[in-house]
Amino acid sequence: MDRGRSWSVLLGTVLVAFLLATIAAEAKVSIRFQDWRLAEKPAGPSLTEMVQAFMKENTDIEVVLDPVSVNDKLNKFVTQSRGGDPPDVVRILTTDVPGFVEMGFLLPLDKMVAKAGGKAYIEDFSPYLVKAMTIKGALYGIPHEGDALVIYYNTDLFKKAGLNPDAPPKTFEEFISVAKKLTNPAEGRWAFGMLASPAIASIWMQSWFLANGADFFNSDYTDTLVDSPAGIEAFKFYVELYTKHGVVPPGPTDVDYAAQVNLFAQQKVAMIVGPFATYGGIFSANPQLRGKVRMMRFPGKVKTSSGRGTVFSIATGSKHPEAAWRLIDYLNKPENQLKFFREATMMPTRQSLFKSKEISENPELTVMLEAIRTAASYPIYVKWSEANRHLVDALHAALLKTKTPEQAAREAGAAIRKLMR
Amino acid sequence: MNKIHFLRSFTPAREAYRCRWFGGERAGYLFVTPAILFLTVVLIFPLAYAAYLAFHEVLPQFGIKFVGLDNFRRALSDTHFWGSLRTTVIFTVVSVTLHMVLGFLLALMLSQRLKGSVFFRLLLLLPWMVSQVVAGVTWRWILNAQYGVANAVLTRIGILHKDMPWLADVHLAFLSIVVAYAWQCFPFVMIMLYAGLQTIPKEQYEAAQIDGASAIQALRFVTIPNLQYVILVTSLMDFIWAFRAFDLIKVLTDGGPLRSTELLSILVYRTSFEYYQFGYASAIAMVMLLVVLAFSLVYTKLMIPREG
Repeated sequence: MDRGRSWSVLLGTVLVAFLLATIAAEAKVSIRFQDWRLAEKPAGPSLTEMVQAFMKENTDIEVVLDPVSVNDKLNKFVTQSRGGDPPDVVRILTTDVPGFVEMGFLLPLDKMVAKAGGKAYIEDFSPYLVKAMTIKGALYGIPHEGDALVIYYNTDLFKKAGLNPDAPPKTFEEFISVAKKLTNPAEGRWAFGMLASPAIASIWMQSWFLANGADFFNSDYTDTLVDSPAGIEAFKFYVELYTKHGVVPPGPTDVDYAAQVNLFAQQKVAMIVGPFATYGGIFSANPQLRGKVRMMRFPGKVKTSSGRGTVFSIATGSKHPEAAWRLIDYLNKPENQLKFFREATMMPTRQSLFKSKEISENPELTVMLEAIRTAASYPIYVKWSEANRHLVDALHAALLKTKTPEQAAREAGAAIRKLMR
Repeated sequence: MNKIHFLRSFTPAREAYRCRWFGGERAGYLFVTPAILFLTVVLIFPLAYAAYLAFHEVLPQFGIKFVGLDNFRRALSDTHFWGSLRTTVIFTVVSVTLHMVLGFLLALMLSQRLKGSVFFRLLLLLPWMVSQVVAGVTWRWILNAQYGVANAVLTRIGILHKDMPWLADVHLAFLSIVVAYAWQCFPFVMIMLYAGLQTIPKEQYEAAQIDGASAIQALRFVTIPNLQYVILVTSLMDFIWAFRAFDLIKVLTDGGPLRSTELLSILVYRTSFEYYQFGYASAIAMVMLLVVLAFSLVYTKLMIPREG
């Protein structure tokens, strides 16, 4: 009989323990964090470490990491959102946000921002990124890393060509003159590594438009400026670097980001366009170039260039938006953005960090910081992918000389205008 | 009515009961049910949903609107669709022809049982084993205008006098995707034809030899007729694969330059995942399916001789 009672007590204890464990498990919410940077090095390990620290601090939240390849990031998120099973937190390129908002995939973050400090909280982030993420008055993403495009140049090649590396070109005319001196096809060397492969060709071209006082769209996205006089002038200048002045190596329509960095690392070109990540990319490809690479602003009438960035957003289908917000807020804490800068060489988006000793006193970052302060955002337009296709078609047609630059720009302008209607 | 044999060992009453349930067609249906369920989930449902989407417009905020044949009408008036269709048809015809010729010649060589033929058979099969994305990246490096191996080798042996922009010229880019795709896909044709060659009775060649047939005549009157069905099935499969080729071309050229290599599959991908026009993309995909189906039906009807 006693034995039977003991068994009953044991069974009861196990049942209670099981029930308590179940309740505890249910109290712990699980969120999915999808990010292509998780699959990259050194960004992935750095982010993973931060997420682990977040889970230690927030014992009621379990974060399931969902690394995704950079090429699959779009179709995976779109498919999951359409299928009703999106990740809770997702990293998105600024250019993709308007399309996702239009499709109803993202949650407005205004209420959460208001709780976190409202205006004071959001004003610390780079204004061009905050502006880009504010769609129809609502905020859809918190910038995590971002910077502006600059021109990287090889000081050794400048010196060899008899040019002063301390005085980079400041106008389009000066740029052509310098580029001609840097070009020597017999030695397999050209001045400028033009990137015109379809994926990011027009984004890389945008800075030249901006520097000439134009852009692809007007400020309220009601018209295109591609075929405006300043737009056509910038487009013609850019195309003729290859077709007329011959300062670009053959086959620019095939040159993608990796090829561009390789051309520069192999010293086949003296100048390339790139964000801050390019700086590290060059030295990874050729460590001997350390100390021989500098950044310059885009030459032209206006001191500005394209500002890029990625943001953290919460998917509409998230079952735990509050927990998702806590993760976003944690990853964006000043100390974590600084850690990400140190470990993954990604520029922070908090302006207060630009004043930190680590960044403000780094001479390598002077030009980049100036560029970020005056940056104009990448196009934030709901039909950007289609407009981009028209721009790439125009660029390829002009580079392959099937159309004149003026004709190609005008046709692209007409096609984009039709799209906007 | 046929009975299932293993049930015979059971007791007579149970056997009679089970035979009533499992006998004949019912048993057959029962056995194929898992396969049908599996196919419904992975094949029939996505296909039916794509067909459904082709007649709808996917609206923002998860909305959907019936648009009848509008998506198909739009395709018919879309110059990019016709451009992609033309590129796809030319690519498919050239690729299948190249694969068949190359595969046939290599299969003939391998069947000569020369020394080391097993090694060469394995070596020639390697491209087929490589994933299309890896093949695309590899070929992208090989064909790079500035530091690619293709230009370096061809210039060194004197075939080229200057570097060629293989992926940056409209015509060269098309040629490049055909060559890269052939490199990856000919091994399949080769191995199928090689297997077919092994089944041809030696006596037929001996008889042809006695009749004084030359090597070409033996090929024409013995080899090819014997391989007729293998050629039919292989070329049909190769046609279907080439018509919907995607990964390798996406990585290699992304449809450029100037859309010269934008196959229908790439247009479908772009329309759905870049422009978010799922209805229109589904309509193009349905047209692709119809083209492949129509071709397969006509081809098999023409190629398979009627009984009697």
